[in-house]
Amino acid sequence: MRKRLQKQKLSSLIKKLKEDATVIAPVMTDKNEVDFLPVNSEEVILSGARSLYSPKKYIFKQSESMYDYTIQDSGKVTVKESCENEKQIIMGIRPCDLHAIEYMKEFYSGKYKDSYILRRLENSVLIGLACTEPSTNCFCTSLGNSPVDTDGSDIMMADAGSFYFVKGITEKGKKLIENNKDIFEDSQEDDERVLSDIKESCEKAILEKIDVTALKNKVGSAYNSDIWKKYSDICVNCGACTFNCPTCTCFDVADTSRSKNEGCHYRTWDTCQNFAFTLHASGHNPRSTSEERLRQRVMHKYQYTVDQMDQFSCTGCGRCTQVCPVGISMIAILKDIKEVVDNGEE
Amino acid sequence: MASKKLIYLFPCLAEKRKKVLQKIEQEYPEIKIVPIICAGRFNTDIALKLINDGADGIVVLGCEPGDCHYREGSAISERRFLLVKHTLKAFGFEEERFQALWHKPSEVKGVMNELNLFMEKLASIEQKGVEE
Amino acid sequence: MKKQIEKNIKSLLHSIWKSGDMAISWTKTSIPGKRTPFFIKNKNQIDQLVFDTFCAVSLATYLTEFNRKEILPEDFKGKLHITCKPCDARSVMQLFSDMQVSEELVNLIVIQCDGIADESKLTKIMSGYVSNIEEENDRFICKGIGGTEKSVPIRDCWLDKCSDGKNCDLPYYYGYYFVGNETEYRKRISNLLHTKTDLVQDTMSPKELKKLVNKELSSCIRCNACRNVCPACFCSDRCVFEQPKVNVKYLDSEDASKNNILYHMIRFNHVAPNCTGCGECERACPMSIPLSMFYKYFNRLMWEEFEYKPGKTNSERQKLLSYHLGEDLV
Repeated sequence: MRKRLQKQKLSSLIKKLKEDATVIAPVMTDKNEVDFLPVNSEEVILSGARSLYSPKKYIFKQSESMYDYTIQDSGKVTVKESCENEKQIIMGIRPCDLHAIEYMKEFYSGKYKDSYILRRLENSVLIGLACTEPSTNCFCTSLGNSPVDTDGSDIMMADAGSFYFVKGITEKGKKLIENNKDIFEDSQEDDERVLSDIKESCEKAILEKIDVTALKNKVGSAYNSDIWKKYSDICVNCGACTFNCPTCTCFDVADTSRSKNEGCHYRTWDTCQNFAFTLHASGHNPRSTSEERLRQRVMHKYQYTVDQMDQFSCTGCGRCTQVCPVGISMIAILKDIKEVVDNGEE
Repeated sequence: MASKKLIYLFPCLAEKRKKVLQKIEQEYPEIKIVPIICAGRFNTDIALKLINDGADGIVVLGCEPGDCHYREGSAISERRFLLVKHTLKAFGFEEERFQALWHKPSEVKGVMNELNLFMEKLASIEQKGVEE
Repeated sequence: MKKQIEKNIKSLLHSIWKSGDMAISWTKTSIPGKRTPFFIKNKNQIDQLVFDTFCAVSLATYLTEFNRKEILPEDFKGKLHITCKPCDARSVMQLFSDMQVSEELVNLIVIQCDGIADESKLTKIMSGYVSNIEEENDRFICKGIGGTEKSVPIRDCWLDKCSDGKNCDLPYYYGYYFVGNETEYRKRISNLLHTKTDLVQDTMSPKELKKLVNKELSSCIRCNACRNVCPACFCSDRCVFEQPKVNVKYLDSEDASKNNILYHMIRFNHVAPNCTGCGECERACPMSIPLSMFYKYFNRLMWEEFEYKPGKTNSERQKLLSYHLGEDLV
């Protein structure tokens, strides 16, 4: 299903969508940074490079209550599972984040199904946006992705000058377009060319390219090399990279009381970079050094998920590099891994 | 209104302060008394946590600096308490919510006087909050 | 000028290098404008060292991590040379006076600094994409998308602490090397040091301030970047936030802004006596929370209450740990 959306019609589309769902879109925050927020009347930013913050927080929340408990005066305990059924529409998700959400969907629907996240995904309509410009740190082409990938989205949009080229991908997306068909216009025949044009110009601007797909299944051979030490010396083991990563899925579960007879069981983001992440109750820590923790993060992204799910859990968005307070670049680590792997093969 | 207040009192040497503590229990039943060894041993993080969690006031009852059983104990804590007050202020809490009282273990009247003042201060803070 | 300073650092290091030494400095990364810390473990690595306007990372942080990581190479037997901007040098001083690092171990090289630029600010100005940056006098010439060029004044990209200038003073210490012109540097900063800045804590009522703090800290993701880059936070893995054996659980990690406030309150309460105001926490924060509104308050407090400026000397003990009977209290 192919349509056109005139740019001045965007606000009326949002208004219409807001009637029965929360609309989340990239807007400028007061810190002069583009972030995904529920929109009211602000100007939605559907241009430029990908935002620094990913829309992960609307699927996999930073913290969410899994169930609440209350203790009545009689001593009776009631437990209520939290069950969000709010519909949300997330606009302007870039292909890297779409890949990430796709990965997250697969990850959480494995052997053990995570009903909280799957329910939220079911209630979300994801509207993608092709990247017309990369950011300094982008390297999605290195992972075999492209700035116009549509996988994972329900609807894909692409900037075509005076209008957006809109493509319904899934049934959910097509239905949304059908419901609002008076806002959209029919598309011309060669509109699809927009995507290939954008792809060409955007890929040309990406600064870094290294063929990571060729390293598939080989990254593990760098496990014992000394490159980890080089970066772990510098790494301060904060969690900025993992918390801003759109594919990092680790969480911690804990209980808290809100008052004397009320409380909840909740989960929060957790990071493998934290010392306490793998700390056993016995006091033993299998990943006690910073080197091991850094290696875990890289290996998990490029080797372990390949073993388990046959895909990289990195989408090349480059956010880890962008937020790193000490300037560790993922691309630099990958280059070193490639060198080690190549040397090992000879 | 007054009975809903949540106030914690941390007295040092509670054994020797029985008299004054009894008096406080009588006059202010809403004050929760948590005995500690020495005011110098008081962990200021706890004060921050309690106030952040919604406590109305924290009082630490210690011996006068120089009079402390553990020599510098209460003197060091006086500096730390100053920092707590300012931490509260920096984060938008009223610094008056935290108060240290320095009295000899046998003192009763002085403690009660200062405690009364403290309670009045808390009430005025509340009043201000309602007005705004 | 900058090139000359870089050259001078290199030649200084070459001349004082003995076998078994190690040095911490900066080097380039493949991303324009990003500099990363660099550990020089043998003499022929010295030439990879870089010092320019983008060397924002404070290397003093790494001195605190000796207990945590095996940073020092096995054959280390000499001195650890550390290159510092004057603000970082004060952080090192504070670590000396807190007895976290032995003075015999460290050789301090202080570099004349004319303001450090924040790469993320420049990226923001360039709307996310910079392919090349060149420095010309007091401007950056940046290449953006499609080869478009844009000239940005360096001052627009400065770290906040550089325009504030309160922490630019050199420590009172006999044993550092100064690279650059010390008299010129002292002249530049002399009028900066006494500027007065208004803090929100003075102008706002508690209620307004509470609202502001709530708003700012609600975006905190608790990644611990502020704690881990802080040179004054030297507890590393023994931090109170991560102690499984502490029987009081101070913090629930549920991100409600109430908990974030407690996190930052405890953190600032702990580091206030040795916070030199290096601004690393604010720079490292991926959510750009203006943490300077807090540390500036504590810096001023230390000076006003105790006439004590953390990091000024290598021997003055921080005021909250050093009381002797008979001393004036406040």
